[in-house]
Amino acid sequence: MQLEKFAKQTINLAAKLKLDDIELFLTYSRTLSAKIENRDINLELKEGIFNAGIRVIKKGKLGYVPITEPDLNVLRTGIKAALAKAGPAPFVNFAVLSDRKKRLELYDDRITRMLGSPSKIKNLARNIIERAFTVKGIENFEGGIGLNIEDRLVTTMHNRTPAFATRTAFSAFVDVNSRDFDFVAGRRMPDLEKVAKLGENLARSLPKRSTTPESEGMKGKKLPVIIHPLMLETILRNLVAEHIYASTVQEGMSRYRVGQQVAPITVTLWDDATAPYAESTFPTDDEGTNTRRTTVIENGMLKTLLYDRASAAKDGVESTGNGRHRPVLIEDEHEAPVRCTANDLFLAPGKTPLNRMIKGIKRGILLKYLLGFHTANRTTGDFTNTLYVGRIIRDGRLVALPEPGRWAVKGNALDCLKNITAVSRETINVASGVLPWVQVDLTVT
Amino acid sequence: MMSQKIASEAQIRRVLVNALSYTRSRVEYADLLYERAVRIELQQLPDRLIKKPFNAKSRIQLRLLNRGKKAEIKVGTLNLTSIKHAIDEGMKLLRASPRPQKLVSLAPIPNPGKVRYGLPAPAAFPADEIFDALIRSITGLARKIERKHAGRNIKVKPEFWFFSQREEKAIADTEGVFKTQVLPRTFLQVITRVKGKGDKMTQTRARLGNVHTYTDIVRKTKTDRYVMTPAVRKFLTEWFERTIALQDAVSLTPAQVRKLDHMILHYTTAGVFVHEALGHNFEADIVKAGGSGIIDKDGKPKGAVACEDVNIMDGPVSDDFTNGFGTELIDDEGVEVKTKLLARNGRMVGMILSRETAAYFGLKPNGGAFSEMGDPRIPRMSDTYLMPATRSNWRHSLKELIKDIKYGILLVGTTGGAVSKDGMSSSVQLGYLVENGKVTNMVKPSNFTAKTMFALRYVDGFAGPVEIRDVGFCGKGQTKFVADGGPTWTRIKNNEYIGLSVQG
Repeated sequence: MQLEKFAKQTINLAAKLKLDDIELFLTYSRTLSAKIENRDINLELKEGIFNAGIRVIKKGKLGYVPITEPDLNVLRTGIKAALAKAGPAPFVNFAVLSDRKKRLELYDDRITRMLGSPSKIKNLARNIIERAFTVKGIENFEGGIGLNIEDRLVTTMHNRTPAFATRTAFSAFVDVNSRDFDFVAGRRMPDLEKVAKLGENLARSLPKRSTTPESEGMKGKKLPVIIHPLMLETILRNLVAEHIYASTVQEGMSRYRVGQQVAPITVTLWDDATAPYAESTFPTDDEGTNTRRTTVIENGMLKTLLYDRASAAKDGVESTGNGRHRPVLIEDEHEAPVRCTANDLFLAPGKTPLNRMIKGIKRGILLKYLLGFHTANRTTGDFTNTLYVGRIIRDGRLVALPEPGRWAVKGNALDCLKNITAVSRETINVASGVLPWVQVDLTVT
Repeated sequence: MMSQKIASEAQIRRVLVNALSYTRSRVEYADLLYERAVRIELQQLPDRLIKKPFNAKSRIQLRLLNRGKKAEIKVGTLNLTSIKHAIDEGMKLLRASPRPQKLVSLAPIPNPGKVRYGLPAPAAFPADEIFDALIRSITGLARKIERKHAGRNIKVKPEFWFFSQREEKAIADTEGVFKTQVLPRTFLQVITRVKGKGDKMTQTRARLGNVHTYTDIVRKTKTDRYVMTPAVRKFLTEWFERTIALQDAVSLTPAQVRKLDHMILHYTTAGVFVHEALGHNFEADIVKAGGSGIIDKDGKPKGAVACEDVNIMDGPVSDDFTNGFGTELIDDEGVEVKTKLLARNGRMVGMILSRETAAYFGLKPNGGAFSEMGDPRIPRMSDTYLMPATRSNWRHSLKELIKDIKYGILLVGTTGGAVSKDGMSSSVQLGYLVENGKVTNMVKPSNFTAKTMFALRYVDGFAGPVEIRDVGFCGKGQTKFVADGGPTWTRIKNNEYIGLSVQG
């Protein structure tokens, strides 16, 4: 399907309906995946998936129309209904897109080729399985490989050229005995030899024994915890970012102010939707503002808030390119409202090697993932969750797995950031950012 | 009750039947699922109000079976050309697919001749009137509460989300089955954020949802005005008050938690616990993959999952298929949904089955396979609850249930949970200490952790009727509407397999 053609037809329809402005966020995608269930492989395809998140302005009112059928009659019905019930628009017009000189890296032809060849993805899945089962002690093994190609278009009524790009994506994950997982993800084809070894390497790295907080004498104690980059990204995105969004600050619900020291000087955090082959990479955000790299925290100090166009209009500043359709619960991306949303997050690496951080801990935890972290309190930043994936550290060594359902960890995300005691030299790409391991103190319950 | 037709039924049937005839010379079996939802939606975000009087979504799921292999394809739009193209692509998947360890087959659809299922659902909504009534009532209630607590300089900020929708689906296969379902579904969520003294912030989440129309939430009066129903006003007022009371709530140290002799779970807390800790472990695809903590790969129980006094069910209470946020009349394979007894007297007796997993385990399908808008159909919970197996420990009131408790805690509400193979986590919105049989201080939000196989072996009492009004969205790669619950109160003796971690 040609998104540009649909966009032109829609803008013509907007003119016929005498709209003042229209903003289109269109995607069209194809996904091929292989699901691994022990030694079985299931191939699945998602074909011709069209989504449109459309906003319209007429006489100072803003209406929303999400549709999944590329049908102008459905769209016409939607626009009319939306305008009949529209509320006041926070701005007069949608963005007029400006030219971007630098070409962004977000497409890899090797992924497109593999998407057209189901047998190649099957062979990779089979390779992962066969290597994983060379390791003894696997009771259940799950995983998946996903390849995606997506056309994405953002434009508004008064643009000559829409922001358009074809993006590719590759992801693979493995889970061994429901005790640990590993993954690779990005917009570029990874080293497939490394992908093939994902399960094997994970299975070999699993400690044989599990332990409880009672037997480790850790229950109720505040202990050093090394947070894995994946968990760190989740903490930053789900809880800390809420306090950096201009909309939260404008509502008086943020604990942060620009210029405040919110972390130690070792911490520098930036938001970016221009990094090569990262998840958010695209010329504009979802409302047509050019994307950029924004340093949010520099040497521990909050330098700026993240703005979409509505919150920027309130503060009389420019959007930082953080207006994104941010879905919750049953929402798909296109039907979610545009609001302040972090792009990919990057935390500058520190100087301490990870193994030295581990060696320096007498009793503590390496925390990879907490169960049910979506239930944490985004107003206060408080969280208390069951430890799902991690390692127990004793005398500077990773000695055991946490016994399932027996460990919980509690803390506050904003306090965590403020009290980081070490930042690792190593970083990993978690798809929506590149981050190091950090050390904080948390209470084990 | 006459079930309604889906919109453009004849046209949709024609496309599905023609597409299926295209598969006949190519595969042994194929089926198609068409799903469409049209909804009105209102979202009050922290900084803006979003009105969506028209949100339409539709997708198709195509499944092809040949020589024990299957291919599943999600198709974007309902037209013959798209589906034929998907069939051609599906043939490539079938050719590339390896032979599974055990060949895939599907259990037959019971009652294949019945076509229409459903509940009355509006084709159009008075969106403007509903939106106005909701905005007026919720903001009005918040201001009223602020005035009531004027001396405390309290700010109440409700953030809400409402939708009401008409859902339609059609299932057709190469054996001539054609079934449709029309359902309404309505949902209201209010997140209340309170800012108090010293900018202290507290937050709660309240939800209502059912397979009913919007009239559960907003009703038309005799004077043609739309107003929020008194029951919903009362419900929201209670949650506003609780959020304010949380400003003064106490925390418990791990030592104090260890001293608790009982935890008494409100159905809004017990429900998500049953859903996460046990429910997922009864889903037959998880069992088949070896991911269930309570049933082995062959479908045999690993041991008792609860004490003898506990049954675990999935389906609407008392077989009332007009109630429950997760209720459907047929699943997404066209199988009539049955109320499922999963555990009787604490022992596993059933699973939640799709046609594929039913055939795998040699059982009859029970209407448990669902898809999120064209995704593959997999076993899912609908309305999951804990049911006392006998009346022996079922008390009439909370007062009776707690009278002999020296030091315990009532746990109320949840903001969700999650499960791993052997453990689970669920959040608790607030608690109340019980000291010498009396309810005393409010306790801050907490997290309830449990080791799946053992946690419910220590249940020793219940009070109040069974309710499944806890409303949720279950994620398992796909999102599904669900409800969960149990008796109003379920009492669990504190034990080494459960843990409570209180914020603060």
